[in-house]
Amino acid sequence: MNIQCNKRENNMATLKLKDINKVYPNGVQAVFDFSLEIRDKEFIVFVGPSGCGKSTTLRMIAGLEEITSGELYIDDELVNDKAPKDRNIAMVFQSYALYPHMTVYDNMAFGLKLRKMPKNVINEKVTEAAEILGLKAYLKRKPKALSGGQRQRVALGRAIVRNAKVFLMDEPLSNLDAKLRVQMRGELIKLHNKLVTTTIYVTHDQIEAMTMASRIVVMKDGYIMQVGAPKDIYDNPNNIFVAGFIGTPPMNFIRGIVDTKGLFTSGIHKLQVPDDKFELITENKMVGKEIVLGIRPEDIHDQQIVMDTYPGAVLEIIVDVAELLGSETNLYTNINENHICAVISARTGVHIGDKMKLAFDMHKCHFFDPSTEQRLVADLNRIAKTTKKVKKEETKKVEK
Amino acid sequence: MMYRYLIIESKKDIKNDESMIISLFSEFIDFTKKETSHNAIYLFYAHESDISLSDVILNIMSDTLSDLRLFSSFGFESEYDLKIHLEYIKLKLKSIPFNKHAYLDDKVILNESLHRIDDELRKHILKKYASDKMMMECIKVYLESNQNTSVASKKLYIHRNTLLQRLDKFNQITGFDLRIFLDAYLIYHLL
Repeated sequence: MNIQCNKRENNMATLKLKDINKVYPNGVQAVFDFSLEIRDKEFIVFVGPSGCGKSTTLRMIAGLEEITSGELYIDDELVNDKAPKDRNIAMVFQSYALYPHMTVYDNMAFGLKLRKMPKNVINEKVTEAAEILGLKAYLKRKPKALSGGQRQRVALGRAIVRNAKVFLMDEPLSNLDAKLRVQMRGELIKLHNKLVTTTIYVTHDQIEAMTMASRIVVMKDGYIMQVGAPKDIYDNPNNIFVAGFIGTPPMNFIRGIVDTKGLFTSGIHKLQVPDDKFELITENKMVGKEIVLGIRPEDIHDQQIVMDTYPGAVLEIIVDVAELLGSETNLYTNINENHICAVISARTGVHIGDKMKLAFDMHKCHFFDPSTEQRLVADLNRIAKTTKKVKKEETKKVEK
Repeated sequence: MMYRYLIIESKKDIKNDESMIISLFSEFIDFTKKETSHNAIYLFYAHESDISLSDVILNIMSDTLSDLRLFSSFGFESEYDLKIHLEYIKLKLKSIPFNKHAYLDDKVILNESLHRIDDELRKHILKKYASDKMMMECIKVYLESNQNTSVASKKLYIHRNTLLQRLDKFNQITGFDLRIFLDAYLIYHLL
């Protein structure tokens, strides 16, 4: 416990990235105005499709890539011109890789030997890391004699022993099979909780991002699309890209028009929009204009009770595909040429070609402006005014 | 005996890490000669090694926090052939963006160059077989017979074992095993 506390004090690290840009010599700009403050102990995940600039940003933090413009601070110290070795970071490129000819002990000790640390300190650090990772019994083994999971842990051990302020991980689980990946996700979370070291993790896998991050940075084409806690990003995506990228199966999108009565129409399908959402649409002057409705597959239901709650949001559909996943069924259908997925209970027992009714939980849906792809949000000033008004009225009532 | 070489290239100056890299590689490679330039180390040796060099280079990168890449050659029958190949690869590496691959060999080079195959590339990959019409015909028929040795040997009017021997020899000299899909795919572009 003491060891961990000491480590904790030594390893406090905050990072500040201010308007960081990366332009390659051939003129291609990979990262645009990247600004982010990373708090101590945070587990930040950069996520986005290939080529979105997440690895480039990580490499700029490591110092492997020069920052074209902008400022990078580690613990309030400007490190733009500092060599990677002097930034007190540990980087895991692909953590499956180990020195094949060295024992587990030597693999972990090698980086420290390079830094010319005394033998007894190296021994202490390696033993401590081996204990944290449950590798004490394997210290004399070579990588060939280890299982995939054990090798992965040794690779993490190589980073741990350095006592770095920041861990940088570039798609460390991408080489693993699905089962080992799930196992290692858990190991990484446990490890972060033990070491409480600020970690920046790059992945294109949104499940890794959702399960591991304290905050997620969603990127696309070199821009930050959204930064937030996993649940916040899932529940309140800023735009169509984030809404579609985070979540499996992804959010459904239906193009349509909301009329003055608050009825959303897409082809022959009609859905009654709740008052608060309709107010939002009116406020954003989107009534009568094309709009995109977004709804998560788990917010589409087949239970009678939900249909009774939202009688104006029930559609009759024909099942195109039904995928039984064990506890639930992914049901695919078509609504006015929009492919829609609903996650329903496996007990329902649906089959391809079945006709059935689905209720949309309209309170959970989002509306997006198709021209900007941004989610419609409420005018915060209006909300503040309304809240004040309500509070005043409540106070008056109490006084009376 | 087959002659081989490694190039360990740094994006910047390699001098700081030079002694460490050489001492590390000497743990599993008996190099006969070494050369250095400001951003690269060239190690020459004449034995096989089952060490995964791609793992080694990735580890060195994370230990030194430097941008490195490693080119590993296949075997050459003479030092002269090796030298010609090395000069060609030095030039070729310049056209491949540094961060794209940490580990490279003839397969990666060929894969990177599929859109601009020229006689020189053909010569360096196929080595002595570049002008061997019989071997090229054998390979073409074998690949066009869906890598089926029985069918291909019948078409070529040779014994199946003869064909197998030729494929083995080709693998020994070039490092491409035509029974592996990716190797077959890459070599087919050179026929």
